[in-house]
Amino acid sequence: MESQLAQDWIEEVWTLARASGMDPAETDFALVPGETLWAMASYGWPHAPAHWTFGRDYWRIRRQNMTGVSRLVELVVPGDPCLAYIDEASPLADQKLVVCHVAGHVDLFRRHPLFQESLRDMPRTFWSAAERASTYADEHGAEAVEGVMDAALSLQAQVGEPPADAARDDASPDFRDLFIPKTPGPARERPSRWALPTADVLGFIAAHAPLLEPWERDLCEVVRLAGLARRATRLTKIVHEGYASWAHHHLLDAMPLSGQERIVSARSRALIGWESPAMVNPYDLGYRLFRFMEEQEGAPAVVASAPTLTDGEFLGRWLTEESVDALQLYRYHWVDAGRHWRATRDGGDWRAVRDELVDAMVEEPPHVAVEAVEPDYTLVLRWDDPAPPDEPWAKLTLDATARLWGGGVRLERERGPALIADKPVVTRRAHV
Amino acid sequence: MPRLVPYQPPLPGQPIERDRARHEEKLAEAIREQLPSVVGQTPVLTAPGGRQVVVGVKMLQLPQFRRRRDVRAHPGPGVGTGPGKPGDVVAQVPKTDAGDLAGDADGSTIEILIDMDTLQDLVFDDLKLPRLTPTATGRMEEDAPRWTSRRDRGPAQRLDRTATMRAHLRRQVMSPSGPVPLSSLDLKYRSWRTRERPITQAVVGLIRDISGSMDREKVYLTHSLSWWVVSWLRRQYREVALDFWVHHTQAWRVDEPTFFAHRSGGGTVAAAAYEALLESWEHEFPASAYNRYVLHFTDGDDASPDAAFRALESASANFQLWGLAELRPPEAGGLGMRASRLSTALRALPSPPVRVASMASRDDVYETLHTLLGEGAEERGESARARLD
Repeated sequence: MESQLAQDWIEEVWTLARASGMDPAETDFALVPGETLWAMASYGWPHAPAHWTFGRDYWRIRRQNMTGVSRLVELVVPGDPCLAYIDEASPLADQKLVVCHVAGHVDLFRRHPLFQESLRDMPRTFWSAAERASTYADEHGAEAVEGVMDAALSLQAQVGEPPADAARDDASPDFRDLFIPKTPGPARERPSRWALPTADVLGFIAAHAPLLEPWERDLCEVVRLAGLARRATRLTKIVHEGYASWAHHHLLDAMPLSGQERIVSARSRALIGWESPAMVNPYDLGYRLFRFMEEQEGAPAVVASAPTLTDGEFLGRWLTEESVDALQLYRYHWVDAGRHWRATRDGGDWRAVRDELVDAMVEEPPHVAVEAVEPDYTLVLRWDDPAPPDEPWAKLTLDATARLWGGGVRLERERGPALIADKPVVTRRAHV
Repeated sequence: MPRLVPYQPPLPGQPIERDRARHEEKLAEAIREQLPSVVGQTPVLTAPGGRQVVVGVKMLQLPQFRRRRDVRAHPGPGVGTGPGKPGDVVAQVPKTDAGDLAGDADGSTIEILIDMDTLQDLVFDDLKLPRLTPTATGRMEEDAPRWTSRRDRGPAQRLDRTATMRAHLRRQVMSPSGPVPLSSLDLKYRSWRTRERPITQAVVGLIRDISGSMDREKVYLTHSLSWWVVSWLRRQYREVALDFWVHHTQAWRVDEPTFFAHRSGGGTVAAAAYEALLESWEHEFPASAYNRYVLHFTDGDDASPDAAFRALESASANFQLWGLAELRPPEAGGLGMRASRLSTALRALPSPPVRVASMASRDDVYETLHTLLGEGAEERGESARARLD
C-alpha cells in the first residue's frame, strides 16, 4: 500500500468521472498543513486583502476543528485551474475519498452557470488585489484602508446581479494597476443615464460614488468580486455538498480500494453524514435527496440536473410527498414542559416539512436595490424583501453606505418610514 | 489532467497572522466597551490576582442588511428525520434562566483568555475609582527595596555606566594635574535602599440576608460584587481581612463556603446583623487600627429599618464604607418599584460612608460597583437626602 496520495489515483478518478458523464475541471491538488487549510478557508481563497474579519473567521474555524464540532479536511477553490487543498495529516484512505469528493465539486464549478465568473482565475485576482491593498495601506495608512474595507464588506451581500452599466473599465483585474480607473465626475453623468434600479448596490457605488478616490473604488470592486463568488457559493451550498457527497459515493464504489481503506472511508462517510433526531444536516439532506433522485431517474439524471439547480430550486422541486416519506422527514414543534422544552413530532403533511426546510436552509440575503440618485446626490435604496428589515442593523449599514457614497443615503420601504443614514462624516476631503 | 502539485504558499510567512493580530486588537477594544457585561459574567474567584480567566466578548460583526428576526417567547418549529409517529417526543432540552432554548445559538460569543490583573486594571481604570486614604495602624514594616542607591563595589552586572562616567568626569575636573585615565576609583554599582512605611490594613465585613428567596442567581450576584470589591481593596491595602455574617431576624458569623451556601426562611431584621457586627468589631477590628468596609446584601423588606438606622447613626463615622446592595431592580427614577424601607432609612445617613445600590441582573454589577466605590456617589447621596426632606 503506498503511503502518499498518488497522481495515478487522481487521474483514475477523473477518467471515471468523465465516463459517468461528469466534466470535472482541471484541478491542482496540494497537501497542506491543517492550519494552512483553516487560514485559506477563512479567506475563501489562498490569499486575500488583509482584514480583521478573516482573523475572526480563522478563530472560529480553528475552534470548531479543535473542539471537534466539525472537521475541515478539504478546501476547493474555483479557478483556472481549480485548486484543491487536502489536510496532509488525514489518512490516505480519507485523502482518496476526498479526491472523489473534489471531483464532484469541480464538476459543478465547470458546469454550473453561477460559477462561470469564478473560473476566470479568481485566486490570482485576489492575490494581486491583496498586493494592491497592502500598497494602499502603505500610501494612505492601514486605518484608512480598513475603514473602506469595513464599509464595503457591509454591502458585500448586496451585489445582486451583474452590473448594468457600461462604464466599467475593461482592464483585466491583474493589470488594473497599469490603468488609471475612470472617475465619473458628478457633472458628467445624469441620473437618467444610470441603469436603475440595480441590485448591485456595491458595484453601483464603486462606479458612481462621487467622492471616492481611485484606490477606494478598487477596494470596493475587490470586495464586490469576492461577494459575487460568495453569493454563488451561498446559493448552492446544499446542491454543492450534496452533489459532491453523491459523486464520491458514486465514484468510490467503482474504484479499487483495499479492505482496510473501505473501512476507513466508510467511517469517514458516516462522519460527513451525521444526523440527530431533532436536526437535519443540510449537506446530508442534499446527499439523500440526490440518492432519491438517482433511485427514481438514474445516475445520469443526477449528473445532468445538478448544475441547473440552486438550493431553493433543489429543495422546492425535489422535496415531494414521496421523497419526504422516503427520507423519513417530519416536522416538530417545541412544547413547554416545565423546566424543559420538548420537541414533539407533528402530524403535519409534507408541504409543511418542505416549507420549513426551505425557510431554514436556503440562505439568501435580503433584496435591496439602488432605486435612484436624487438631484442633491442622495442615494435612494429600496428594501425589496417581503420580510421587514432589522432596523438597527439597517441603520448601521446605511451609515457604512453613506461613508462610501459620500452623501445622503435613504432606504425606502413599503411599510414604515424610510430609514436615513446619519450625516456622513466626509474625512477624505482632507486629501489634497 | 488534474495534477498533484507541491504546496507553495502565496507569500512567505502566514498572512493570516496579521489578520489574527488585528482581530485580537479589536477584541481588546471591545472588552473595554463591554465591561459591564464582562464584569457581571466573570467567574468569580476568591483567590488573589495573577490568574487567567476566560471572559466572553460579543463576536465582532460588521453591520449588514438583514431581515428582522422576531423575538419569540416560544421557539419555532423544526424538521427532523427518522422513523416514528406524530406525538413522539424527539428531543428534550433544559430551559435557560431566560426561558428560551439553551445554547449560544448564533455562536456570537468569543471566549478570550485574559490575565486577571489586566482585567482588573481595565475595570478599575474605567470606573475611575478614587484612591483611598488609608488609616495607618502604628505598626511599621519594610517596604520593597528601591533601586535608587549607588555603591563603589558590587557585581559586574550592576555596573551603572552613566554614574561611573559622571564620577570619572568629576574626578577629572577636580584633578590638579590634568586628564586622568578611567580607573576603578570611578566605578559605581547600582544598589538598593529600603524605607519603612506604616502598615495599612483593612477589614471587609460581608453580610448576607438569608431569609428571603435567595436563588442561585442572587448568590451569584452577591459573589460577584463581593469579589470585585475585595479585589479592589486588595490593591489598596497590604492586608485585607474578610469577615462573613449571615442574618435573618438573628445574625451570626460564618465561614466563606457557608456564607454563599446558606439558605433559610423567616423575616428580615438587618439591625440584628448590624448590631452584632458593630459590637464584635469594637474589639476585633477597632477603627483605630483598621480601615473598615461593610457590604450588606439583601432582597427582603426589612421589618425594623429604624433600628438599623439607629445602630448606624453614631457608628457610621468609623467606617470607610457601609454599603447596602439590594438584589432587586433599581428604582427607575421613582417609577415602578418603590424604594425599600431599609434603603430609605439608610439614605438618610451621611454618605460617605453609607451608600445604597441595587442590582437585578449580571449587567448591573458594574454600575453597582461604581455606586458603592466610585466618586460622585456623594452627590447622589446628597440628592437622595434632599428628596427625603
